[in-house]
Parts: sequence; structure tokens; C-alpha cells
Amino acid sequence: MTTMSIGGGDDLAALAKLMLDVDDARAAADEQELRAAHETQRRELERQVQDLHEAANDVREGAWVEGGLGLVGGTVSTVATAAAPAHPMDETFASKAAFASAKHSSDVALQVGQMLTTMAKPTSAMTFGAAEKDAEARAKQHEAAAADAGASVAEAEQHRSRVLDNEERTLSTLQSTLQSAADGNLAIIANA
Amino acid sequence: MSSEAVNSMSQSSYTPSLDDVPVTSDPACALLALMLQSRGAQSNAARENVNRANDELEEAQRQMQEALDRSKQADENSGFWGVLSNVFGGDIATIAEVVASAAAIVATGGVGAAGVLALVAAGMSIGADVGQKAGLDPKVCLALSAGGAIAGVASGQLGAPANVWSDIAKGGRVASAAASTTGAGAQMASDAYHADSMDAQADATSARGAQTEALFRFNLALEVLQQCAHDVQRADHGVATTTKDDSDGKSALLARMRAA
Repeated sequence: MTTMSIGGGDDLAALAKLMLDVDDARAAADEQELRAAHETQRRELERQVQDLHEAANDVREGAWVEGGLGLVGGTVSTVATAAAPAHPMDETFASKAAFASAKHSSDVALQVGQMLTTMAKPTSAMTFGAAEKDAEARAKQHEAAAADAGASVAEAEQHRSRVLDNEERTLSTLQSTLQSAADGNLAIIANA
Repeated sequence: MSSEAVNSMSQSSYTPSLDDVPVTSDPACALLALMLQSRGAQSNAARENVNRANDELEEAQRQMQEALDRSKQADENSGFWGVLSNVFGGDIATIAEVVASAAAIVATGGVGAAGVLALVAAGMSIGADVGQKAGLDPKVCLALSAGGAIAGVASGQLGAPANVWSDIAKGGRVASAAASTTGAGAQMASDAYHADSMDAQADATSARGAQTEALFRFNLALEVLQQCAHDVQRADHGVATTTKDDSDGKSALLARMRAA
């Protein structure tokens, strides 16, 4: 912001003061706009980061669910397979019945294990996959908004820079005009 | 911009002081002196802001680099566990399952044991060769080769009772299930590392935002500093011109008085 004391009731000085006041007001407005756009950019970026962290958390929690179910299912399947009864050597009814009963239990356990393993991925996708995609989409949205705000910042900066340049030109013109007037006065005194 | 550049620029900037203003009783010069003083205070504040913003910029850059390093490390870990998951959940589990199936067939007397084992041995050997050419992990190729060799040897030892083949089949199934479980665990670790990598990338984005923020403040402070230096120079020039004009005017008047 340029401040210059302009004294006297001279028309030129009054005009220059008016021009400078207008430029000052414009520059102030541009700076306000610049700061507002920058604040918007900062906020959008903050939200984007927050959404990216949420997406990462969803991936992590999805991994725990998928891995947890897979591990439990796999362990149950492994134990059920290991504990599966061998075919009886003798062909008695009692041993066949015992075999059938043990095999049934082991088959049930094996099916439970396989079911858990099969369910692992879909469950993870259903519970956290959609949430992760949502968070990623929101992050993209905020990224785009931050980019828009960034463009507004650049625009306001350019406009402000132009106004300040204009102000500078006005001041230079005024200064050289005043200098010419002073030189003229000196010449008048010298020739009087 | 480096801190040296900023310091050098700050040092080269004109530092205003009342001592620089010519002593005069002219109210205009006194006003200019006040302006100089005011700009001097603004300039000092702006210089401090520039230095602070520069420190923040460097800190943000350091944080970003750190986050990117963490992301890279997490990606490497995720890749390692992913490969492990594929090896256990895919290759090893499949091989164990094939062995289990072959042994089960032999145990139940479905196919001639020698034929099955010969087929398994040939399959594994061919698989190892093809895998090697296709760029499969050398360890897996080695395991396939070893499996083929063992199966080949076993095909000559077929005197074993049926329950031995049942046990082999059961062992194969257990090994397959255990390998799948290990694969699931490794996949979980891989995904968890992938999430860590995503977190680190989010941190890097955050650090980039902090960098933009610091750069914004840096530019504003730098602009104020430049403007102050410019205004001070203009005021200085104004004072010098005014003093000179005053002096010239007095000289002209004296000359006219002498001439008269």
C-alpha cells in the first residue's frame, strides 16, 4: 500500500490523490479476495488430506476384516483337515458309525472354515470397500476445489499486481510533474 | 529461495532511520522523516515474517520428504508381503493340493500309483521349466523341481501301504490349507502396509499444503519488504530533491538580490 502526502489545493494533486485512493481501494479489495481464496484453498486441501486419511483407514480396516476372516477360516480348515478321521481298518458297524460321526464333525468344521475364507474378501469389500471409494471420491472433489481456489488466488494476485503497478505509474507521473513545476518556478525566479 | 538469499536480500535492503533524513525545519521533510520511520518499522516486521516463512518452508519440505520416504518404505513392505502372499496362497497351496489329490487317488486305488506319480513328477518338472522361462520366482521353480524329483523317486517306491498314501494326501491338504492361511495373513500385512503408504501420501499432501501456505506468507512479506524499500528510496529521493530545490531557490533569490 502506497502512502504519499499530497498537499495544496492543486487540481492535479487532487486528481492524483483520487486516483491513488481508488487504486488503494482496489488493491485492498484484491488483497482481501486473495486471502479469502487462499483460505478456501487451505481449507479444501485440509479436507482432502482428511479424506485421504479416511480412505487409508478404510483400506486398513478392510485388510483387518479380510485377513482376520481369512486367518480364522484358514486355521479352522487346517485344523479340520488335520483332525479328519482316517478310514477304519475294520468294517464293524461301531467303527463305521464312529468314523461317520467324526467325519461329519470334521466336514462341518471344514465347511465353516471354507465359508469364512470365501466370505473374507466380499465382507471386506462390502463393509469398507465402498467407504474407501467414497472417501477417495470426496478427496478428489476437494482436490478439484482446492485447484479452483488456487486459480482464484493466482488471478487475484495478478490483478493486485496490475493495480499496484498502476499506482506506481501514477506516483511517478505525479512526482515528475511536481519536479517540473518546481523547476519552472526556479526558472521564473531566475528570470524575473 | 534459500535463507542465505533472503538474508542477503534483507541486508541489501535499505534500512531507514531518522539519521538519514537531512535536518530541516520544513514540515514536509518532517513528514517524510515520519514516513521513513514508519516504513522502517514495517520493513523490520516484514523481514522477520520473511525469515519465519522461510523456516516454515524448509520445515514443510523436510516433512514432505520424510512422508515420501515413509510412503516408499511402506510400498516396498507391501510389495514384499504381497509376493509372499502370492507364493503361499497361490503356488505352494496349489502344489500341496496337487500332491494331496494325487496321493488320494493312489490311496483309493483309482489309478495306478506309478502312473500318477510319474505324471506328477513330469508335471512338476515341466512346470519348473516353463515357470523359469516365464519369469516365475526362482524359489518356486526350485520347489517345483525338487517336488518333481521327489515324486520321481517315490514312483519307484510303491510298496508302501495304502494308509501311507492317505497320510500323504492328508498332509498335502493340511499343507495346502496352512499355506492358504499364511497367504491370507501375508495379504493382510500387505494391505496394512498399503494403507500406511496411503497415510504417508496424505501426509505428503498435507506437507505440500503447508509449503504452499508458507510460500504464500513468504511472498506477501517479501512484497511488503520490497514495497517498504521502494517507498523509503522514494521518500529519500523526495527529501533530497526538496532540499536541493530549496537550496536552488535560495541561491536564485540571492543571485537576483545581488544583481538588483
